[in-house]
Amino acid sequence: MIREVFLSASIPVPGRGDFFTTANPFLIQLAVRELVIAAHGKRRIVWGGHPAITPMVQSICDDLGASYKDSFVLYQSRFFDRDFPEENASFDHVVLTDEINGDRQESLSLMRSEMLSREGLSEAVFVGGMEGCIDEYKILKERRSSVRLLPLGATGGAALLLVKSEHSNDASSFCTVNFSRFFHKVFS
Amino acid sequence: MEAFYRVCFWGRIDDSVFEAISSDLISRLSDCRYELGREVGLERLLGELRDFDEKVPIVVVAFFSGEENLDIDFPESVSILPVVSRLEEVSRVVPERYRHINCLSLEHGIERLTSTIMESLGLLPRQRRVFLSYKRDESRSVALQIYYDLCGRNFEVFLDTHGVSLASDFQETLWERLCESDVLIMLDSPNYFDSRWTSAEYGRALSKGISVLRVSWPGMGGSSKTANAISVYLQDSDLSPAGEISDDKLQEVSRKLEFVRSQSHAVRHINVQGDIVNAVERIGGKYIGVGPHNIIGISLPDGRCITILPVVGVPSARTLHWTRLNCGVGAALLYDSVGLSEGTQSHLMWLGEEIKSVRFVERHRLGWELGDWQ
Repeated sequence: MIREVFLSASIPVPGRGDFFTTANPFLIQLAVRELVIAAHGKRRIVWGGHPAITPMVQSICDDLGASYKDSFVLYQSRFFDRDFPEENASFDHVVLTDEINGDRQESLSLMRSEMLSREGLSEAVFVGGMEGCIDEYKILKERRSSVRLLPLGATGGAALLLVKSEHSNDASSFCTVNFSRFFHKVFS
Repeated sequence: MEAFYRVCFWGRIDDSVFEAISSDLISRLSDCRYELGREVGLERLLGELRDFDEKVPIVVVAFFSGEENLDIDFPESVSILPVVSRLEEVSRVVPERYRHINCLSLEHGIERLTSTIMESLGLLPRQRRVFLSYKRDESRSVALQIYYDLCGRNFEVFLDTHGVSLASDFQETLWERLCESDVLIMLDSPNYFDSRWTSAEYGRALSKGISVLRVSWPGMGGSSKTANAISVYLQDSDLSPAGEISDDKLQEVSRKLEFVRSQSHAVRHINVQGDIVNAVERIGGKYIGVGPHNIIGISLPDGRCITILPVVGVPSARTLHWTRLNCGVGAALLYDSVGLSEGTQSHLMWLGEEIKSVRFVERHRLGWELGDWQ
């Protein structure tokens, strides 16, 4: 079975308190970039996409070879089917999860539950993010003890909160900006 | 305020030499309208390096005279400039592990040393490239204000003026200018973004690792498409009837730019250095360190030493020539192909085949190439 890494990444927006004030948008972008490059050939990346990040990921795929498109599993909830970005069409593996009762929260919960119960998940990387990121961390911690949890504190947002609350003994290594070295060690 | 850049002196330095270097740095930094001790921190290290922040460009100028404690250790990503009074002293006073990094000598003059310090921090004009993008009929006045202000601070600014017609494809030469910049400044006026960028082109710019500073026009607020940018927000009161911004706001833009730019410089450097360490580990070689001109030294398993020069943007024949002169035969020019157009990539392959004395190596293939280095 191909090993998979779950990517929980979003860029906190103004009005979202501490998530926004600590978030470092450049480092969020760079961390995802370095993850995509480091995971190539070693892991398939499972994620839900993001309007500011998906186009960049698609571009990296284009530059580093079409096989990159096979290296992603993109989850989308049918609740948002009117808003799917055009870039989604370029990914070969798109998993659509059902809309539940016309409810945003329930539909997202279903998507999350399906994404995080994939058998092949080996690691989970948390970049920036807000409440959803923390929920995903908690679900994995409770239900998937074999999945290695890796918040990148330097990116700020929820990832930084998770480093402080869950990885305080080793905070400096989780707060590095040397993402190239970090992922190399994780995937070796 | 916290400094954007950090210069550390280590080892025994005569007061007169320290004064001369400080004085020359002050003069050079005034070209950027910066002060030594404010935007650029200066410290004399008594022992270990404290408060190391990977996001702040740093250089350690290490003076060796034979009297030092030779056991000092610096983080492996830190640029070290070993300095001696005379080059003939190198084998006697410089510890073995620093001898593989080019040493500087005070015989060559203070100006050469301070120029190398500025270069290590990325403070030379050719290293401070900014791509300033705006919509002509909406923000021309502000664009020109920012342009002249940044030129006065030792930045090289490329103006990307977008007209009223529909977005045209990014021409190759324009794309190369963008790839050589470390910051994209966009004046996000009401009709700027969608008329200038397709989603794919903006994604491609981000894939290059460029950092983005966004000057957000009144009422524009946050944007999901440009969420990765650091923003300066304008209110209505910040724009004069003539469409210009106040000096205070201009100052805010330039300070944010320096923050964005210095962070980008440090973080990109550390990740390239990380790539090199990864590649060296893979083949069983040894990482030596970062020296003058940000040249990185490694040794192969068979003991051969190789110097690697990481390059931002598109490496040119001129860069190849400089590398040959300063790093010797067999050095490697390391570049990142992600975000470069197909035309540029095939040009680089052709250039690499024609010029054998310096090798072009694509960043993500370094381990592979080092494993079979001829």
